[in-house]
Amino acid sequence: MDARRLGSCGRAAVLVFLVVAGALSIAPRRASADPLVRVRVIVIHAKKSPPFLHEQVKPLWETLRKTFGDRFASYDLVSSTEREVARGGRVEVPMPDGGTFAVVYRGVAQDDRFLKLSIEHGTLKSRVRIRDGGLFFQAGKRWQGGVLIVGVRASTVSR
Amino acid sequence: MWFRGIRRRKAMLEADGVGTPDPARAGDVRMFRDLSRLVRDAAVPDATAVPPFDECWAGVERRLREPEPEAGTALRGLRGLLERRPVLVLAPVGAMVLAAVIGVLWWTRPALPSNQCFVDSYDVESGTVLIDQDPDRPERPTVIWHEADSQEEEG
Repeated sequence: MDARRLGSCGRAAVLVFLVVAGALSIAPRRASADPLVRVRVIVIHAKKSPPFLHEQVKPLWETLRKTFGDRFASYDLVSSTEREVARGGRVEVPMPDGGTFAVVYRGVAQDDRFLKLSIEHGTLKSRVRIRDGGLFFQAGKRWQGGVLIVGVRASTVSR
Repeated sequence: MWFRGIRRRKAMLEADGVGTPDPARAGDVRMFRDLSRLVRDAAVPDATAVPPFDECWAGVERRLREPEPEAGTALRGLRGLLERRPVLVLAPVGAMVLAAVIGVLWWTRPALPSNQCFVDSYDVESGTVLIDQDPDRPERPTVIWHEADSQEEEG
């Protein structure tokens, strides 16, 4: 009779242990589900001519050429901003036309493969998902005979 | 009865000369026995003899001990083929080397950066939004174009 009682107590203890261990293993994963993200916002003034490529834009030359083709020949750097943000963090960049360009990090997508971002530029608001380390552009604002191109790159920061 | 039968048999044998002490008849009997044995042996030679297992096993053993083909035989054949018709050897070897080089280059190629992007939503009060992206080229960044209806240059 005592042995039977001991057996049931053992089973209950194992069950409680498994529940607690499961909860503990889930909890930190939840907390670390949204890692810090380094957001880089680069503002480029693109024009048809004369051909020019800013020194800091050179690493992006191939990407710009593939993306915009021969639409522009001059790429001048206006500003480059890089910041590490946690989920909900906001990176604001002043634009040369007086406005601001903002990026909000909205966490990691459910499938863990994409970073969720929001952008705000003037009246435009958009939500996007990009790959870790991926880049996208927002363009169209005309300024000083050219167009303002904003490149946004986001990548997770290893702790 | 049984005793009488034995006595009659003995009498018949004695009549044939078997067991008789007469030396002349005993010699005939012996010669007849020898002749019978010769005829029997000639008709059924070694009918009851045991088969020569030792000789059988010797044959098997001789086969087992036959020398194995030497390890260098294939190599010598290959060398001979290389001397006679080098194309038959060099072409497959070259193809294998080429395949290995292509495989190494393929596996060690730098991965293209994935700029895959999904524009989940956009909201704009005025102007036109155009999403420029190529799903077949994930390395090419997406461009979210926003052009106002009557955009005037600023600055």
